Amino acid sequence: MSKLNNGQEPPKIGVYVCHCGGNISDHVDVASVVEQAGGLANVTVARDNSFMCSDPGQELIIEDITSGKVNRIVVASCAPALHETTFRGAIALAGMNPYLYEHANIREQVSWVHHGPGATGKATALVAAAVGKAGELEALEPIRVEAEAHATVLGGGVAGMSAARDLAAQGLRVALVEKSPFLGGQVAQLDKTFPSGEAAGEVLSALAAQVLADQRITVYTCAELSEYSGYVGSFKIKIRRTAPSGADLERLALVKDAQPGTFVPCVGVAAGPGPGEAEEVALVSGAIVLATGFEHYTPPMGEYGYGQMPEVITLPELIRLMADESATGEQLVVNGKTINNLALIHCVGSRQIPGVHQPGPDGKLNQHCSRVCCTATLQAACELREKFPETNVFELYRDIRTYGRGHEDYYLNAGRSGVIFARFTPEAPPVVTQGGEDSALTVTVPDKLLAGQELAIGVDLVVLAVGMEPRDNQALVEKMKLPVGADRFLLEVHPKLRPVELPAAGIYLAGACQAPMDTAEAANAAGAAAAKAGAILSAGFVELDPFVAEVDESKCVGSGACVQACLADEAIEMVDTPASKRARVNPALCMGCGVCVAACEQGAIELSGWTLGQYEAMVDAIVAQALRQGA
Amino acid sequence: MAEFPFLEVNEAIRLYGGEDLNACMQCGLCASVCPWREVESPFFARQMIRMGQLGLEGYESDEVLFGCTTCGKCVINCPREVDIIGIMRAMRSMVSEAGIRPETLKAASGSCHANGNPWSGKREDRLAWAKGLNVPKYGPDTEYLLFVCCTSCYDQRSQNIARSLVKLLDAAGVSYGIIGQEESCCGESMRKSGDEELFQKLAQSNIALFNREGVKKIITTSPHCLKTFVSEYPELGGEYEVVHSSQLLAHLAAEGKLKLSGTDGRKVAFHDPCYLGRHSNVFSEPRELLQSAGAEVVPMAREEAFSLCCGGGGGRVWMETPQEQRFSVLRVREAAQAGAEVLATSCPYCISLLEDSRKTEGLDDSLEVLEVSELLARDLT
Repeated sequence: MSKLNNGQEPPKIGVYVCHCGGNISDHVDVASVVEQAGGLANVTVARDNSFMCSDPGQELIIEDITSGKVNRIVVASCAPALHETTFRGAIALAGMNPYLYEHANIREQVSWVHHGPGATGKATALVAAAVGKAGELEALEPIRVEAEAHATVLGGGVAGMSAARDLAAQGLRVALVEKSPFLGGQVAQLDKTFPSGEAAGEVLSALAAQVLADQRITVYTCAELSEYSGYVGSFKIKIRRTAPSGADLERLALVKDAQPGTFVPCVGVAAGPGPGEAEEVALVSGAIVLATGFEHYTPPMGEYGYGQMPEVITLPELIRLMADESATGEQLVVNGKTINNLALIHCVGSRQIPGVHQPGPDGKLNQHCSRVCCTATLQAACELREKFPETNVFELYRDIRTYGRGHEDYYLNAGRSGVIFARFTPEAPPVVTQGGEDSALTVTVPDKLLAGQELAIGVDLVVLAVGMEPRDNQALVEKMKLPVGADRFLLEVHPKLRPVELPAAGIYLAGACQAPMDTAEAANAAGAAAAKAGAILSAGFVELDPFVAEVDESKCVGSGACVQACLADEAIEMVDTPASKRARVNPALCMGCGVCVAACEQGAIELSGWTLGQYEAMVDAIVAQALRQGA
Repeated sequence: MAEFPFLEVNEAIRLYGGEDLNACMQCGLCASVCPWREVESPFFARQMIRMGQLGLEGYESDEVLFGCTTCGKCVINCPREVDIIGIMRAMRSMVSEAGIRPETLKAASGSCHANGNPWSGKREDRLAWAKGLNVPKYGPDTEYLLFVCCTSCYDQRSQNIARSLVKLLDAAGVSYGIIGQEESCCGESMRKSGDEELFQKLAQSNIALFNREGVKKIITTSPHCLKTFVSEYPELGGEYEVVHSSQLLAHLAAEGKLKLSGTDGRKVAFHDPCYLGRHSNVFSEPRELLQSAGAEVVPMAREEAFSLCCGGGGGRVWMETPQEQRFSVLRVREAAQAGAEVLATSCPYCISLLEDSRKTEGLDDSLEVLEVSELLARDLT
């Protein structure tokens, strides 16, 4: 890679300043920055361009390298997160080592936040610092890690099964780890999926059939992750399987002929009998997909009468009641009681507001919108009106958020089928009380659509549209050091740029463990996670940036201070050498944070690409620039 | 006090013709685009529909229940395309059946029952407008039935519309004729104001008459008759090819059969009648006619589908509206602001209300209100 330039020649630095189509040049005098850069030591070329990231911009760099004018590059443009890799790529195309590159951010750090003459001064200083560092750069090689062509998927719901199937389709071996004896997750609790109306059992059966038939996928039911270590390309995992017991045994007994692939309503798809006794399985996986799903919010005793009045149930409970095929007639009958009127209450355990709602046992509120409950509730209402036309349905809502393709139709159809809506504010929610004129319960609610006029609705059943909560994953979160958002769901690196990735390379998110999602969205996320994992595993190795700590064993005295300070497990460790104990870095695990550099009293550790010498050159350049400007 | 939803009322409204009642999601767009927002009014369509959905009382006053002019602005803006006018009509029907109805509307309905017109005119006077003109009777060989709106039959100002039109039809050599005394009010306003029984009676009487006479094609002077014949008569057995006078005249002018001198030369604003524009999608024909007559058509602040109702639809032409609440006042002011010398329109209700407001606004000398046929008749070669 570095045949043309290995960083050993005397520095000839090229500086390229971007206008960003006015984003930078409207506030920074680019010509002045270029002029001053041109006068700095070792700078042989200084140019500007409207868009350095464009093909013509990159061509400038490539031409100057191939014609021998420059052997180190500085680009002054936007944040490095956007285009650092673009310019490294252009340098590599020209046959030069891509790490002989330094980036100056004069957009986010200058033109977007400073206006007036000071902006040009700061941009000039940042460019000078980059030039100073560029003179000290060394050619680096990426860290190459062997990658096991195997992925582990945690969770056997729709997201987990989809991810496993998609990973296997890329030729990878897959371990699908599911806690229960059944595949299907929460979707198994549903009757029909929206917006297609397809039976949940059919969706799951089709997906499970693909998973169970694929020789490359091994399904471990009754299993949980018990040990975890390693890094991308080579995660060392142990899963513990336990023999099914109690309710699980009863559910397994429902499986016809104990045949794997059989769908049991409200339970899931059978995937074998589970282990006869506890066992542990060791795996080496190149990547891990987390598809651990969500839990339904459980209302605390007394919320809308839940737990106190038997006529108050949750939406999943209603769905199970309606799925019972023997339930027919003009009116819904529950526990032998005819339901004349029924009220569905939205936003139960979702969109909770501090000071208005009671926090859960963990002291936390579900401030998020669960997204799927509006459409799920409307779907249930439509089905109720269709199957039981003499049961009146009231929907009490804060807002209707039927955001997805085809979801709005449920809202319109609910209205057209005679569902009566009433809108409440979170500060004045519906109140459910026992008894009524001709009803089991009375729901009173100030109707926002009638300027707060209180309505009293006699009903025989109240159904709570409970939201989606993050599953209690504390053990897994601690074991794998997973990032968790303020909403307690697992948190991706960036919602748009890296939506299914975690900061630790090789670990991906799929489905409702990340945020409330409907079935289609969970399957989408799973496809993305599988594609991402497949992309890194298919080459057989993984290349990582070389910005990691490096120990000079001749200076190391084996104090172990670095190991104490290290933030990542096993990224630096003490090893026996002929002399004595010495620190050694595991480049695949090192995050390049530099804590060990600071902790080492001997100055025996340097961070490649960010050496102390490079920092000093930057500081010197900034000071020199300040003196020039002051003069 | 908490109110108890009374769903039997909800069901009744739907049975009375407000099938879309529960399709309303209460977004409120109807109330915000309603012309009543331009003046002080307790009428809010969303609120009234809400009460209907829940079967609650409180909308029965004349100002609320009979507020809607059925102008249709809300309907074309409704994100769910709810038949809001159908709901208004149904709610009025239910209350009207119980005898609750504004006194002036009762008089109009009573006159329709007795005389076949809402203006307390005698049946035998229905052809008074044609006095002195040699208007042909409809016969087996006649192409068009000319159906003159009751307003233009009995109202002196309005009669000139019909008189002008027959001059134009004669000049263009159109085969047309009138039936006269046996005709009844089309029933449009009676139905919208909630007298469904009366509408059925009027419509059936007209359909029997038209069918007996072998009517195939009809020219209407009023867009209200047009809309009702086109949209509501077919399901009662009356299927005809119906045109509004402005549509036919535009066609005749384009074919060269109606020859105009093109010498009008005045600045003319055109007020789109709700039932011709929004309800029947006729926008360009009257403007083309005005241009053919040599008028300079000047735009008002609100044109075509955004046109402001004159205030006379939905039965309100028979109700008293306080001066400061009249949309027609706003409309003549708009015409004056547009620099118009003539405010032209194509509906007898609009003519009546705009004429009135022209006077109350003191615009007698500067602004003339004319039906398109009237303006054209003066420009005949």
